[in-house]
This record gives sequence, C-alpha cells and structure tokens, in this order.
Amino acid sequence: MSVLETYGFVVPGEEDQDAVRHLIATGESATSTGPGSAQGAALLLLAGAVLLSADPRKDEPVEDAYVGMVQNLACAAAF
Amino acid sequence: MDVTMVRRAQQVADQALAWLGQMRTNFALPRDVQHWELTGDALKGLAEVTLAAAIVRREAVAGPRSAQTAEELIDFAWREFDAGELLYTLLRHTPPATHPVEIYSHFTLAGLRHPPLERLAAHQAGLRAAAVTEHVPNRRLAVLAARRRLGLPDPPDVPGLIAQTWLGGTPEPWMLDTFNAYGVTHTVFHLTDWGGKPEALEPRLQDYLHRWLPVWVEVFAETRSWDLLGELLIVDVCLSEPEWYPQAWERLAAAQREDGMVPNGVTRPPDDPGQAFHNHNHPTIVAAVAGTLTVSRALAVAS
Amino acid sequence: MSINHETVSGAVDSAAQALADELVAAISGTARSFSLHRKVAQQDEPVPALAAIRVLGADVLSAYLLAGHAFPTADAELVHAAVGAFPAPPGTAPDAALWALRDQALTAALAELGVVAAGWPGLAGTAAEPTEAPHWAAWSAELVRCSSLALPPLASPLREQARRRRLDLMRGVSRALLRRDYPSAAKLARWLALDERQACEPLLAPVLEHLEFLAADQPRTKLDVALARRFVLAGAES
Repeated sequence: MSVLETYGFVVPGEEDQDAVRHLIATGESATSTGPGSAQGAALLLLAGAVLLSADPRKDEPVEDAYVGMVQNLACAAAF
Repeated sequence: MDVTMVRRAQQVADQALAWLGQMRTNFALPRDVQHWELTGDALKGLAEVTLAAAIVRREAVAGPRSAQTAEELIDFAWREFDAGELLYTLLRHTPPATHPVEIYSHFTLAGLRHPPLERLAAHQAGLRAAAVTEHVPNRRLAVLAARRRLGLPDPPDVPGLIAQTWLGGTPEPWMLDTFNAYGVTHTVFHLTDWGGKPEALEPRLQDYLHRWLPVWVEVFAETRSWDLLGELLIVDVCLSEPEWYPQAWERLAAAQREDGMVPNGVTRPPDDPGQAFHNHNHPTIVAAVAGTLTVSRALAVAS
Repeated sequence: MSINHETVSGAVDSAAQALADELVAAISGTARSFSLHRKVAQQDEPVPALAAIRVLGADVLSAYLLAGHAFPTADAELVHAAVGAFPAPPGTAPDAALWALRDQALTAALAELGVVAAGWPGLAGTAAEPTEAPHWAAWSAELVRCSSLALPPLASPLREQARRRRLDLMRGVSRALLRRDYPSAAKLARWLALDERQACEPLLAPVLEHLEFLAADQPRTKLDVALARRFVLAGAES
C-alpha cells in the first residue's frame, strides 16, 4: 500500500483543522515584552528605586558631615 | 507633515504649559533647608521647567497665553534661584559639581545672566579637572552644551566625547533599552541645543537616527511610554529632516489628561494633581518642549 | 484571516515544532538522512504529523531543495496526503489569500523537485496578490505570515518587494527583536537572507547570531534561522 493510500483516508477532527489554520494565520506577537512593556517597566521602576536609595532621607536621617554630599551624588547621577 | 499633526502638537504644548503654570508652586525649592541640603529632585524639576519655558520663549511660536505662562515660569524659577545667586553659592560650595552651571545655562537661553557665576565657571572650565568628571557619556555632552551657552570654549576632544555615547557608537538598533534610550535622546538634545542647531548633529548620526528612530517610536508608542515617546518626538524635530510621526502625536494627545498633565505611562497617576505632580511633571515638561519644537520646525519648513 | 496570537498549545503545535527540529538537523548537516514518511510511520497518531506538514508548508521541502537530501516518492505522497487531510479554506474565508500564497509556494517547490501537484485535492485556488502596505511595520507583519515563500528557488512579488525594501525589512527585524518576538524576527531575517548577495545587510549576521542565543529553545524559530544561514551560504558559494 502506498503512503498516499495509507494516509489518504485520514480525516482530522475539527479541532486539528482549527489548530492548523490558527498556526498558519499566526502573525507577529500581539504584545511586546521588550523595553517599555509592563515587564520592562518593572525593571525601570527598580532602577528608579536604586537611584532613590542615593537619597537616604526617605527612611533615615542624613549624616552628611561634608554638607552637600547627598546633593552632589544625586545631581551627578540623576540629571 | 500634515496640518492636523501640527495642530495636535500645538494643543499638547499649550495644555501642558498651562498645567505647568498652574502647578508652578510645586517646583518651588524648600525654604527651610540649607542650600547644600536641596535634593537633586528639587533642583532637577526647577531646572527642567526653566528649560521648557526658555525654549517656548526662544522659539516664539506660542500664542499669547502660553507665551505669558512661559514668561511667568522663567521669572518664578529665576526668583527661586535668587537671580542666580543660589546657583553661584552652590558652585562655590562644591566647585567640581557641574549641575549649578548646567542649570544656570538654561536661564541664559532666556537671556538672564549672573556675571560672577560666569567668571567662576570660565576659570573652572580651564582646569584639568573639568575634562575628567566621572559622568555617564551623554551627561558630558550636557556639560558641553552648558559651556557653549555660556560662550566658553569647547574641550579638546568633542568627537571623542560623542563617540563614547550609546548613539555615537551607532549600535545594533535592537539593543536599545529604556536607560540607553534616554541616553540617545539627551545626546541629540545637547548636541543640537534642543533643536536650535540641527546641523550640529553630524550626518553619520542623522543617518543612523533616520534609519532607526521610526522603530523606536513605534515600539515605545505601543508600550505607552509617554515620557520616552515625547523625548523621541523631540529627537525627530532636532534632525535636519524630521519625519513628524503624526500617529505618535495622536496617541500622545490622547494620553494627555484634560487638565494638561501628560502621565509618564509607567505609573498610574492619582486624581489629585498635587499628588500626581512628583511622578508626572517630567512627561508634561517633555510634552511642552516636544509640541513647541514641532510647531516651530513645521513653520520653518513651511515658510 | 490575520490572527495576532501566541502559538496555540496542543498536539499540532508540538508536532510542528518537532518537525522543525528534524529539518534544522537535516539542513544544518548534522543529520545524515531525512525522511518525512519514515518519521510519520513511527508515530502512533498520524494526524498531528500530517498537520505539521501543512503548518510548515513549503519549509518541509527545504531539506531536499537546499541540503541535497533525496526526495523519495513516499515523501511526495505524504505531502499529498497532508494537503488532502487539511484542505485550504474556501476562497471566501478571510485567510484564503494567505493559504493561496503558501500553496503556490508549495506547488512551485514540489515542481522544483519534479512533482506535479496541480489538481491535488485540498490545494488553495489562486488569489489576487495582496496589496503592498506602504508602512514598513504593516508590510513586515505581512512578510512574517508569508515566510514559507522565502525559499531560494521560488519567485514571488513579495520576494521582489523584500529585495527592494531592505531598510523596511531591517526595521521590522529590529522592532520584533525589541518586542522580544523572536519568531517574527527570525522570519524577517530569513527574508533578508534570501537575496543577501544582491543587497548586503551588515546587520544580518549579528541578528542571526543573536537569535541563535536567545531563541535556542524555539525549534520553529531555529528553523528560520538555519534556513537564513543556508541562504547566505548558498549565495556566497554561487
């Protein structure tokens, strides 16, 4: 029996037909997960938090013996 | 370029500027702290709103109400800095710090001067130390731009400074991330003096941006990154031949709140403008600058 | 039909990924032999295997067309059976034009291998050529869907467009990479690679390498990258 005869009578179910049509019609991804996306934004916020920690006044008093060190560091980094 | 896009840009700029005008006391520096205790955030916000207002003034394309608001913002900021005296004090307190001169240079765009500060800045610009500040590469160009506004000579190796930036390296365009994207936008802002001299950006970099800016505008518009999108739209009008991006302008206009505030697109702003101010004043400033420069360039091209 | 979706889960998708893996080995030279029908004969359940042949379209013939593997009659019959088992949608369906383009490519690829497919039940009829989108993003999204047309022996209007719009293609690749949509990036890179020799794109080599690192767990993406490599190699040798 030839291959065509062996498989010529295969009748796939509707679900398989749909899956084939779906996979063929699938184009580009519907959502971006790169920079600026929800995932990317979480990283951005994290980066912001790291930057904010340069300003210890959020949670703790400044012990800035040099007077001006906090501003100096924050302005060098954040502008 | 189409008229609808220019109208959108004008509307976004006008509304953003109106919001900045209404919120201006939020930019005030705290009165109860010593000058060395002023936070980077406080200085940065006031410096940026000054810049936006100075650009509105320089471009001279705003209607009477916006022009008036810009004047008021410049006056307000200049008073906050005690007519430059506070910036002079900061510079004398920490001579190697660059931010006092950077902030001051925004006022010179609007024609305001403080001669003693300029003399001290000129002295410092000649020191070996001025060439080796530990800055990220695009920040070095911010310092360069400030020196140029003060009429000081360029440091010896400007091409070398540009080459160190992300943009200067003309990297694979898909390697952009948010952090480096801000580096790209600022490199362009500083080298063209906020669109004042588009030709100052070398053809190699103009070419590179013409190739890849459309991709980045598309990507960051899709993710509703309004702050960065606004900056990318500024980059476009800093080029010799802008693309204008009317669809991105539509989206930015749609994102703008009724009161004129443009959300950053990353965090959801609270309803109260005072509470929203901290995280959303920057995108609103960006929108005011982007709209103003877009209208101005469009008029220049049309005439 | 233009569905923007992540791939569906299930047996058909798994079978398509498995077949893509086989093809990667066959066209990269790491597999000594390649045979569609022997592979299918090993399966208990032939339906997903036939479905995979339909999903990959002309790509299933790439091992014979590009890597010198013999194309036995049994493999041609299996493709014939797959087409019959999964017939093209009616001409009025929204995805009819896409199927028509893909089946033209399949027919032309079979003809290259000496098989006349005309008249096979299940093949899509001809459809009007879709209009060329002016905007690079919309246009490259269209090329993503039609990637099985990007094979060296096949001529098509899309190929002409891809030869002409190099910057738009590279913008599409960059956008897809930035969106972390590696399957689309690989498909567009494949279009770029197709006529690399006539229109060199210096960023193609780093793109392919980048995808090999970042999409190593995605067989269908790996197949597109492997095909692109093969095209570049063949272009350099000819």
